Amino acid sequence: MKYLSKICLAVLSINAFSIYASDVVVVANTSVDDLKAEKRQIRDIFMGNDSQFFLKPVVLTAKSEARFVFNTKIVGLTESRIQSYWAQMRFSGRKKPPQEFETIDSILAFLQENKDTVAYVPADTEIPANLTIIYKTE
Amino acid sequence: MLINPKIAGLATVLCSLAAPSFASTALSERIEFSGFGRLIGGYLDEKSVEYDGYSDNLSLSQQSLFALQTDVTVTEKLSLSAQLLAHSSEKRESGIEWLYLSYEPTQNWRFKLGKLRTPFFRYSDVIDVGFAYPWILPPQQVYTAYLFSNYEGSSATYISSFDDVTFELEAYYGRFDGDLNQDDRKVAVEVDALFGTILSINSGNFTTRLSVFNSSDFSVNIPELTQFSNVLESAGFIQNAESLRFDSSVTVYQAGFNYDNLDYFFAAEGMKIVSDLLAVPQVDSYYFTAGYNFHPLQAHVTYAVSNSSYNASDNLIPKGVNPQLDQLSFGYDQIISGLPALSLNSLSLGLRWDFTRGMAAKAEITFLDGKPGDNSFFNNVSDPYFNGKATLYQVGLEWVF
Repeated sequence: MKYLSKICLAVLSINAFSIYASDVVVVANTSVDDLKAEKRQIRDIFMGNDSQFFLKPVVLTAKSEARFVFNTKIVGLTESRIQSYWAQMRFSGRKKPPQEFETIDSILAFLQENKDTVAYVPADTEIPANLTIIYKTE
Repeated sequence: MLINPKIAGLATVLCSLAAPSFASTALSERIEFSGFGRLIGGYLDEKSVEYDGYSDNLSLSQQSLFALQTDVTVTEKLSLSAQLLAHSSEKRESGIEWLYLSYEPTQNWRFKLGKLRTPFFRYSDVIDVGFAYPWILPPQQVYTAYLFSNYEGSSATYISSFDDVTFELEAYYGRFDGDLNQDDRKVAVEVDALFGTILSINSGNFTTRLSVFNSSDFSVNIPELTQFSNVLESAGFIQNAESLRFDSSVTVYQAGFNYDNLDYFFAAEGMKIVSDLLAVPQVDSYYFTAGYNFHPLQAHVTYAVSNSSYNASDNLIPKGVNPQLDQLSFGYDQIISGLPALSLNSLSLGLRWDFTRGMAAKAEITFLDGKPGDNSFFNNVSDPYFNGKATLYQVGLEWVF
């Protein structure tokens, strides 16, 4: 039990560090000039509840720190809770989880090739000129 | 430990089908495979009864299962889905659980047609996907087996948002013809003209769900009771004869909410069954669950309660007039008193560990406290003095791919 609580503490402190260590930007391939979204709208887009923006979300894999930051700051749920949510949505035939990409380069390449798509990347990523930043965490 | 060899064989076939497409890889642009499984072991610390099939022998074959889902994109708006399920329990049939066409003309509308899961409660349509919920065994007082798991028909869903609130309104219509498990026996049930509506309102991490289900043509076939009813009718006791007929209306009301954040979650769900039928009890039940996340671990505590009654007529058959009437009258009393009473309080404590992507290990202990003399969801009660108390221990592995 002692070890378990030590591990938990370690995990928690790593998490706490990451929360404050980084930010993400949400970028879209959109034809709408100066498109901006609010935090709750971004959450809806990535949880499959969007009925305003008509943007297709794609995400980085669970290994990426940007995903952890996004889950924490935007969605407000743990990775496992989000996985459970998508299991419920997929197997009840409601909606499918966003397609996943291993690297920032591959997700940016996908965005550039596909109109009306959206993704989050670390805030220090160099964003190609033809993509629009629609939201930034603080 | 019992594992049905037939199921093991079917699972192997399904596994080999799924193997090349692990991690839900799109085989082509149009066909997608995914699936889920559970391996659940349970032990009940009581010799004289069973609960959800568990007894005082460790069993892996009550809730273990494997399922494969195929989604075929026909056009951008039209898709076909099938879910094939191999279940270890003798009480559940293996085979096609789902087979439906889905049409989504716009972002706001979704239509389905085919064999679908009956969405009575929040998790009813994913009751076999243990990965989707915190428990090993969802509270039986609400997620009980005497409601049927699927129907043939169609559903229409309208989704809209207003400010930061998303509304989802679903209506479904169809029929069910099959067997229900009730108190150790299979009962043939035919439900025509079943109709349900569900309203879900979501804002951020808060969701509330309200639903109503109704069938005015719910019929259950128990031959010996139908015979007895005919005898009562020919003897002139129409009202008592009618009350034994199993062809009437059933309505199920449900209300629930859930709230989740990074650290904790709360959820509650209640239901009420209103029934004229003696084969379907009138039930009031609810559960309340609270949990704490210390990712990758999650702990929950769940309290659930149920009470039941039957809409039975008073016995109008006189006693002491002649032996034939006595026989009928006592026979009627015996049937009414033999109906299963479902009063049960339970407290569960559970732990979930999401140790790798798509896999979770769970452990759960449930303290069951039924009313002495009631069935309280216990089966095969061999000791008439059983006090209604037992503890269920479960461990499990849940996965999705």
